Amino acid sequence: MEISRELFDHSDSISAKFKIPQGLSEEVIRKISAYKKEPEWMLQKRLEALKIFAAKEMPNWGPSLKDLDLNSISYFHIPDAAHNANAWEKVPEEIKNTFERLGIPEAERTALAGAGAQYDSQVVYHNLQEEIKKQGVIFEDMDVAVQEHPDLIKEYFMTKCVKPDLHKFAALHSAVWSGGTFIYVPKGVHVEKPLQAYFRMNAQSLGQFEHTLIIIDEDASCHYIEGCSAPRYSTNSLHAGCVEIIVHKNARMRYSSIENWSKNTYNLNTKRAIVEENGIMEWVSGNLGSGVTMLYPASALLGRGAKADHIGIAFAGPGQNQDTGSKVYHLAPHTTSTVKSKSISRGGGISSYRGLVKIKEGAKNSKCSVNCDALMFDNESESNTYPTIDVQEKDVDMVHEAKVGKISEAQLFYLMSRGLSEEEALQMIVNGFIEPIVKELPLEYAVEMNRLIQLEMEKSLG
Amino acid sequence: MEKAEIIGGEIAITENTVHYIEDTAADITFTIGAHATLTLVVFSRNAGKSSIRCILQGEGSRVELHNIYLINGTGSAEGTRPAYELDMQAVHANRNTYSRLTANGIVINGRSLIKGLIKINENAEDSDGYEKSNALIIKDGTAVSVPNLKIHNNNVKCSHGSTVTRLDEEKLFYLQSRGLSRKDASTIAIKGFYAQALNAVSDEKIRTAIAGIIDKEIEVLT
Repeated sequence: MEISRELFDHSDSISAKFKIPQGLSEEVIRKISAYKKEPEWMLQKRLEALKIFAAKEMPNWGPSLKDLDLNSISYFHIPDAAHNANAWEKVPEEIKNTFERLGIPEAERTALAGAGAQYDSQVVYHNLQEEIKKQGVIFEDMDVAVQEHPDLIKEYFMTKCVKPDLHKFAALHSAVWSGGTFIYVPKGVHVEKPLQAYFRMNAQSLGQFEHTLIIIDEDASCHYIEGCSAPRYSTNSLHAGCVEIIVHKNARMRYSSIENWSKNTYNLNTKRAIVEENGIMEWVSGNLGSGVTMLYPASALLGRGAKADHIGIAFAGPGQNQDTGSKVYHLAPHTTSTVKSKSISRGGGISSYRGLVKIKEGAKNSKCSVNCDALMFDNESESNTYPTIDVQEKDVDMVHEAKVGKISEAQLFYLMSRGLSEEEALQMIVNGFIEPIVKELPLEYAVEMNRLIQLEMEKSLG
Repeated sequence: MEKAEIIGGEIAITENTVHYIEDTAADITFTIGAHATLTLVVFSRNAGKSSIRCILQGEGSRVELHNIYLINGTGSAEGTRPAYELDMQAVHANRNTYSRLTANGIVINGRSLIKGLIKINENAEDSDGYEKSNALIIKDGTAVSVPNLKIHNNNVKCSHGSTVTRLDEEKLFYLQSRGLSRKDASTIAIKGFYAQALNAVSDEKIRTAIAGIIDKEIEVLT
């Protein structure tokens, strides 16, 4: 599969079937809810969140959001396609082309158990292979799940994991959310193949607010992958999605995402997992696109013996500000967490690791290790590390390490003396630097990730 | 070597200098000139807030900052636990500059907040910065550590590390199995923790002074 920046930046000419004027008001929210024929309780939840949104301040730390005009964002947008066409043929040609270029049906045919692709605000294609359906696994568009599984949604939707009052953008999300993925894996079921969804924003000045809710019941396991991209427009777009993951006792969940939004997108995403007794949560994150990213996947280790692994890579090129990091809350005894973060900045890009590890009193025998490596290409770029470590319990072991450096002349010289060009040598070193993270991804994603980085690198030698 | 009552203000360092601050809060900015090295040892048993900023102004300037602390709130009532706060900074403002910021301390029934920042400016090529914070918690204590790095030049070496640990039960058990009392085993472990920090202090007089105080304090601790 050919991958180029242009491919991702390409915008399809699609006529919108339903678009609400820009800006945010109670009326807009009532319209969204009415269009979706939502039950009354969901509308009330949205309206309540709108009040919280109005009351909350913008974050006063991290990258500047002054160019983000929340009133010029279009909060809801449905492309002209039959909602949830479950056969690929029913999806309109243009949308299909986009996904074909991104390699989704191909990937689904070969490796993945089910693929949901979100085009703007609705899932246009959703499929789950028969065998896992029989096991009772639910893999559904979030809007459909509200209608078909109201009990589960009522219990879990922004009630336990991410509450609307967490911060301003969580409240905004709760008010205007649309689409996304709902996954429920019943007790003892292991979903062998990864489930995946590809999110993509197409309309100009569009906000995308997809909601992902994943519930892994006791002794079950699942791997879910999300890839995100948006075409390039001259006006700024906003992505304020939300991912909630509930890992029950002895369950295991791996959530992988590669976010490659176009360079004028504000990616202000909220991702959080709560992990019960002996549960395992693994986050694999790649952040390549966006102008400004503020994304801090969090794990709350609620049950004894719960475990969280966070691995992430951020790439900040010209004009980009990647502000990412991991948050881990150790709230029970014998909890463990490891955080591995890699960042690359070049051409004036800013990458920052902003993390938090909190070990609450009573979380005896907890262990935590945080490791950050940063690679800088030039002097215009910036690399920052802001880890906060808060230990309130004496029976713990906590280690944090960070290194910032450049590619050594000796390494380059050695590779070039073996016949590689400078470009090839640089790429080889960068590939080696990110290898520990890329090897955690399934093959198709690892290939995509390597290609994307290669692409960003090509520009570096201009 | 000098011991000051209250330290504050701005101090220019133009030649190799060794300063020692004991048991007093400090709020100082050191500006270090070309090819000068500042060695600063800060030993603290007091609650309170200290702020030490080192500007590596001249080419080839260096700073070695050793913070050693022992915060013991045993006997103090809940809510009045002693809190120690340290803010240490090194700003690399010229080429070929070098910084080592370390904080090593024990917190017993108290709180510690160690903030560190190494900033490497755009013009500070060939610089080398390192910060490290180690806290050992005994009994009830909390330790917060915020070691930040801000790097604007790629031709540098910069890293930081931070640990929060407790007395290792297995090591204590091993020592006890060799016939030591629990008290003696703990004493050895605590001395070992401080020895690492002290060994890095090159000035022998300061080293001996601090070791003497710690030896006495440990008697009370264990």
